Amino acid sequence: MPLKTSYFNKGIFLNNIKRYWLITFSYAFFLFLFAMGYLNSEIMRMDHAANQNTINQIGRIFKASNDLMPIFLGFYTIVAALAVFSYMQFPRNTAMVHSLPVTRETLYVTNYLSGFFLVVFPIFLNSCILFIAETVLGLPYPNDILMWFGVNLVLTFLLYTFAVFTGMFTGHLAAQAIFFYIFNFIAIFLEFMIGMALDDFLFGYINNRSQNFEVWSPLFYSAESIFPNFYSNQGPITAALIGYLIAGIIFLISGMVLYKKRQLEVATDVISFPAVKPIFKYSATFCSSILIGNIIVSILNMESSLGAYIAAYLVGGLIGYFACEMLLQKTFRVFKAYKGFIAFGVILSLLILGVNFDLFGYERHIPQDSEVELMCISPYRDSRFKLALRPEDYDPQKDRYLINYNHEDEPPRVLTDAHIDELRKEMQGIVDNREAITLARQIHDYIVRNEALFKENEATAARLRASSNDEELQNNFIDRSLYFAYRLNDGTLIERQYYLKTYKNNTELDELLRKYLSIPGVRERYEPIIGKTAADIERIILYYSTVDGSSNDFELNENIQDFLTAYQQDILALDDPLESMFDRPATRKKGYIDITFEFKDKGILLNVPRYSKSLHPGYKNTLNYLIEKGIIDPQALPE
Amino acid sequence: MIEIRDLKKSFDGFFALNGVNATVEKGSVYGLVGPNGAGKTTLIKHLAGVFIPDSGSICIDGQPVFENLSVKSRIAYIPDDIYFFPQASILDMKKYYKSIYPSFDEVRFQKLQEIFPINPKKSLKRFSRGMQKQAAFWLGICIRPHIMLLDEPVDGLDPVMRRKVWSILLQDVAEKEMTVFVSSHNLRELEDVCDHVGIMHEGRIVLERSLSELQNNIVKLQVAFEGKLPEEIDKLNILSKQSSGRIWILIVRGNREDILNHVHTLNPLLVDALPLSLEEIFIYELGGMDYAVKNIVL
Repeated sequence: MPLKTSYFNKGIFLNNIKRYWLITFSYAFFLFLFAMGYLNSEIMRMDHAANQNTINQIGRIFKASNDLMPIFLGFYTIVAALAVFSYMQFPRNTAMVHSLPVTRETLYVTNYLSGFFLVVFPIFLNSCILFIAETVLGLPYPNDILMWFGVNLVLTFLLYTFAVFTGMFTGHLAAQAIFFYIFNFIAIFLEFMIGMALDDFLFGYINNRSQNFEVWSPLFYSAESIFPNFYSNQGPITAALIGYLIAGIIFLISGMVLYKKRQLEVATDVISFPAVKPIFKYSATFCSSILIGNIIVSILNMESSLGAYIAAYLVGGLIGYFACEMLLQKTFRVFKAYKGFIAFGVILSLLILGVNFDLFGYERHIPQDSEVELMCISPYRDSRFKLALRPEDYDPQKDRYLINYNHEDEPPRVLTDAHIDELRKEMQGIVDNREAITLARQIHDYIVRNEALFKENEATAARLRASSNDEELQNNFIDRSLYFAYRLNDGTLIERQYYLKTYKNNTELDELLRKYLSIPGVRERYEPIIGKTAADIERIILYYSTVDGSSNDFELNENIQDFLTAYQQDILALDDPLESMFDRPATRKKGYIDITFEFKDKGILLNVPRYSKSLHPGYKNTLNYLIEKGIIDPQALPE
Repeated sequence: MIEIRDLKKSFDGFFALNGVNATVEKGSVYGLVGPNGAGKTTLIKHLAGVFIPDSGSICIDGQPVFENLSVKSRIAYIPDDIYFFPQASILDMKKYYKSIYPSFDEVRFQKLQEIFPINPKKSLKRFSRGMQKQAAFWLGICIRPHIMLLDEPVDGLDPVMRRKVWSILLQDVAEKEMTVFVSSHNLRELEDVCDHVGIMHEGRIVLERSLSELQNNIVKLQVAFEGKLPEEIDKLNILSKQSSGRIWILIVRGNREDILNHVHTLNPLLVDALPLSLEEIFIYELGGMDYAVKNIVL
């Protein structure tokens, strides 16, 4: 007999287990298949144990389950929540259940626990099987299984509780499932979509996925970080899991409060609380606006037109707004509710105009000299700049592809001061020279002030491309790509990237850049070959293409120091220091020589210990040396 | 005793219940009648503790119903649209109810098997609507409720089964003072079983009387006069007038004796007071509230 004060009703619990056993059975079955596959691969690895590095074996269960567990978790948690609380979404079912002498608290707790049992039991069972098997078979890391169980328990708790929680807001099974998945991915979706739009609106904006939002999308985060990188990134993942646990508890308690207040007549309604309806309507309208709006703009290829953007966003919003009204009012005759859309449209248009005309000061924001610790200007953007300027954000797993390390080992878990110094030395263009910082800011300021000019050049060049085949006319415009990154004294990173179309007679920008490169020590930061000796060089390779179209590779093995000296003299004697930053426009139709130096010291960054340039007649000493040594035939070269 | 006071409930701004007041004595059979959409089912769902009222109160034996286990454990609710768990048999449902209702009577369940000729092991989904209703009664009666809430209870049952069901229910009313609160459009049936009737219209109970009072308070007169109908007849509270030659059929509200005395003073050629069925009472009472039967020619 159930106690009056009890929040648990055994009859309801057992009834749920009996009715929905198939969920737990199928989940347990698939997990069992996975466990057997994992054990099999572990036994095979044991056979080759002598060749294995022990460190690599830690967390194997996490890596092995990465493809499956996020899918299982995302599927079974919502299915269990839908099953045990399905009665809420049907008028006759809910009437029957709520007429019983059981309080709402008891119904909530008992149904919640039965659903939780359905999804946790298979994980528990298979963890036990794996733990026993690992112990009996003498596999090296049975404790991993306990950790794996713990991580899955937390993720299951969060996702299942959230699935139940979303059910409280709706009276519709399908809507519950849709909301569950939408909210699981909304953070990264919005980041992506808004980033895409800002990229078009804001001059200098970098659409750089910050990864800070991943943690707000638990399913995505589990697939992206938790399972693949559990041990190598344990700190942030543990913090995230603790956060998930707290969030789960909040959802659990909030769910109970909502369940107690829920009006049961809302069964079949898309939104069950009147106060949530406007939130739902305008949020969905906003999402639809940016999704459909971005699709329309991309299809029509009108990214540069502000008017097209606003129109496309309004069309997207219109579709979303009236679709929501139809769902909420359960009728197609919803057009009387147009006033809400007009208000939304006005606010959205003002927001777009505000962003476009830099009402929030993003484009104009250039840090003060005194705020900047170090910075760089580069013709290209590379994630290694970010790593060099924000080494605090280093993630051994995500950044492993940027770092030189022995692949038998794991990448370094943290970057030491020595690593950071090396990183900043290797990345071209990073400076902390105050004079350089002041001038770099001036260049940045010039670009920002002349946004209209660059955009006009862009439009003119586009018109010329469309209306004329005159290559010379088109060549009057030069593309300049410039990436600015500032590390401020408080560690903040400010990045901007500009794709500028400059008219070749307008040399103001180039003059500023030349002035910048002529500051002592700055040009050398773009020419890592300066200061190197033959002892630093691993090898020198020439890629040599003749005017008749044939090409050769040639590796220089002798007299390296002589060649190096000739090359270094040329570099410093080049007329235009801009060549240290930008390659001379290629004229490869008539043959070329590319030269690559590979350094012995591999450094900390992958692929950086090489240096490549295209030679041109300005490299007199270098070309003479190659001709004298008979490496290249002057007749086969242009001019 | 059930006491409902100024009960209000709205759905999206529409008041399904707009100040319901009613009193149902213990051991009575209270019939709730009313047109479609009057709010009968909504009221019953409040009595069953399913809906949360916007305002007002519902008390059973002085205690509120909503979230009150001691009260709800004494109520059996059989809705019009019955729900059983998918794949469940009567035995499964019995097990479930047994775990929830402390008063569930296993012996009675076994005895009632003779009354309800359905296989308790068979999935309820495979039963017809009428058989599902039998199962609901079978289980509901075994709870041994103090209050039985029935919404269109015998809809779908065959006449023999209807009698059987009512016979068991009325036996419990007589022996155990069980209260039955029943909503139905089958007024003929209610007439046979109810001792009190409430007429519901537009979210309110507009009339609530014992059946005998109700029947005594409205009279169907068949009268004939020399010449036309005297004007003095209008002093009566006439709900409906119909004539066929010199014979008039009048539906008059008021005390039967007083009405007959008044008519006799007008020297009728013929006067006869006929009994009204509940259905006629329902039609004529609601006729005064803009819910009249109209002759519609299509």
